[in-house]
Amino acid sequence: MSDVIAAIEKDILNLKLKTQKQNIGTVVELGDGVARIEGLSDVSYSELLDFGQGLFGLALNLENYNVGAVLFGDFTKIKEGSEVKSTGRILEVPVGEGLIGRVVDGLGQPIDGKGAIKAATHYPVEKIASGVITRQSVNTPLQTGIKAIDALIPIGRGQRELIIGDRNTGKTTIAIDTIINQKDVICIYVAIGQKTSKIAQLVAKLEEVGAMDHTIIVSASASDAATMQYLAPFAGCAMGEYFMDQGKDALIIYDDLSKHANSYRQMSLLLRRPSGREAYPGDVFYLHSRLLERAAKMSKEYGGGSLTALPIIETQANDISAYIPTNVISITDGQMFLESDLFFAGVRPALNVGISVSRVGGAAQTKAMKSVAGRLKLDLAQFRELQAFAQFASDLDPATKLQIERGRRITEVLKQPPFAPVSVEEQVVSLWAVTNGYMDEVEVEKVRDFEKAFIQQIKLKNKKLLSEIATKKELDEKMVKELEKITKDFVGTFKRGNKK
Amino acid sequence: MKASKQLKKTIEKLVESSFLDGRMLESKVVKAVKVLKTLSKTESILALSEYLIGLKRIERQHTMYLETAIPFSAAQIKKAKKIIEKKVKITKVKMNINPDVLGGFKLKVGDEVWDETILSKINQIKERIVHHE
Repeated sequence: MSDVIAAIEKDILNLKLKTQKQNIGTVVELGDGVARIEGLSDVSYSELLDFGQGLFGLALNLENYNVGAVLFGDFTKIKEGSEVKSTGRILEVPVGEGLIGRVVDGLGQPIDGKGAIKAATHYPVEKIASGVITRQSVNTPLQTGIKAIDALIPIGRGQRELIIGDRNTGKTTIAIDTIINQKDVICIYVAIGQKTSKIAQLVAKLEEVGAMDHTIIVSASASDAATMQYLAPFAGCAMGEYFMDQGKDALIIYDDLSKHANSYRQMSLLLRRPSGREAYPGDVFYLHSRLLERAAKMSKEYGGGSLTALPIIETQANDISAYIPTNVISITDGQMFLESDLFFAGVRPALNVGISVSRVGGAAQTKAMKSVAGRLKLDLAQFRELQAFAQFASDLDPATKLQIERGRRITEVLKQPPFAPVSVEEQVVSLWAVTNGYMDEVEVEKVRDFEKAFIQQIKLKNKKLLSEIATKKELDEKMVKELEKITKDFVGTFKRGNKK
Repeated sequence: MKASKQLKKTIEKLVESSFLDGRMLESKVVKAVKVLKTLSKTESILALSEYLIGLKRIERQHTMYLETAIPFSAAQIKKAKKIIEKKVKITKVKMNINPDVLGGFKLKVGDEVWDETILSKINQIKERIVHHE
């Protein structure tokens, strides 16, 4: 104790007290978290403003004689005529390992009641994305544990892949499954404008499966001010950037950017910025592009870390041609399109593999997965084409019939329950079996049972093969021969078991 | 109703011309008000209010506010004024006695504040203790 006092005494003795020079202003207008301040002639854009009583704001509109600012926190304490000071600082959030396993708000303050956060350092909320020199192309896969995604729309570390679809189509489920499947990747889930109950459920689920050990939740719920909802994704991104700078891999999920755009529209209209299409301000594209551009795969000289972004967009009646969806589609490196029709038809995840695409993820896919995915894509494409045609034809030639039957079985294999991610080696084995026709003789309704039993059998009797696929990351001839033998034996056993 | 760009420019010019060396010229103000009164009723109300805001703003830029625990002597005020006048012409000095500042002074001109009070120094020490690592 005496050491602490002595240290403080020494610190105070060395302290050089300066005359404080400040730039001040006066609140002339206040409404819905947005204030208009007269004065503050020296304030810079995005500077943190001190409203007193522990309340801070952000200068966003710099005009001739006044400044438009957004407030973070309880703005009911502020009155017309209140004094505002410029701080000379830009908005920063705490970052570091201390945040892992915690639920924080848009300013990085804990809201989970687990006490103060020990931050490693502070990072600015707004930051220019890494340049070309510091980056390298995507080359490592980020396994989601979802067969349809890992095989057909692969995601690489450092990629930006959009998850788009109507409400209740399983967008958040894909994001949670991806978090659950991570082992060496730190995940940041940013909840924007969501129900607090939904966030609580999500935290409980992640805790239940032990995924909170590598996850940070940034929450700006529907009850939070629009300013906090606007800030949350940028704060989450800063937290992710810290891990990327440390040479680690991080994953950030923005759930969802439609609500983020809505909160930005509210803020902009209150700031009296001119509105454009659908009343969104002109810079709504830049809002999302500057956020998503911060996702990157750094080159080895710069640590080799990565920040993968999975933004989510909610569409209305499957309309992807609306303003915000088209914007985000054009910014990201691909999109996963989820359809309510597929969802209600029992295809879950309700991924429309026809229009979903990953522009750069293919480069990061493992050889083993690539060898089965190529055939899978082709089979599925042919199935989709023939399926529509077959609806009108009663008589089909055997080749067409086989392709349709194969397609049905592939669709069954790609179905997956929520919160049950599958490892890559298991995915490779299942997809190899179905694309090579080993499930053609199994009834469509029993395909999932077959797959489950098949994987269980391999796990029990041929664990070595699975671990070989996992370590070598490719399917060589020897492995294929072994797989052929195992699968043939299993098909026979399965058939006999079904007959009984 | 919002003032048009043209009207805003005119008001700005009138405000600027109403001051000479930081001092408000009564004749110019009367003339400006007469000009603005010639506009339509709604426009003239709006223009007059904008004009008054402008006058206040410029006046504030040339007024020195001093906040102290005990009154400053005339010589002290003159000294402070002289230092400030290197940057901006001071036409008015307003004193505020506030024992809460404990000692020293706080000087405000326009948007700028120089805080040399004991209270501010104590706050700096307090900040250092709170954020001591």
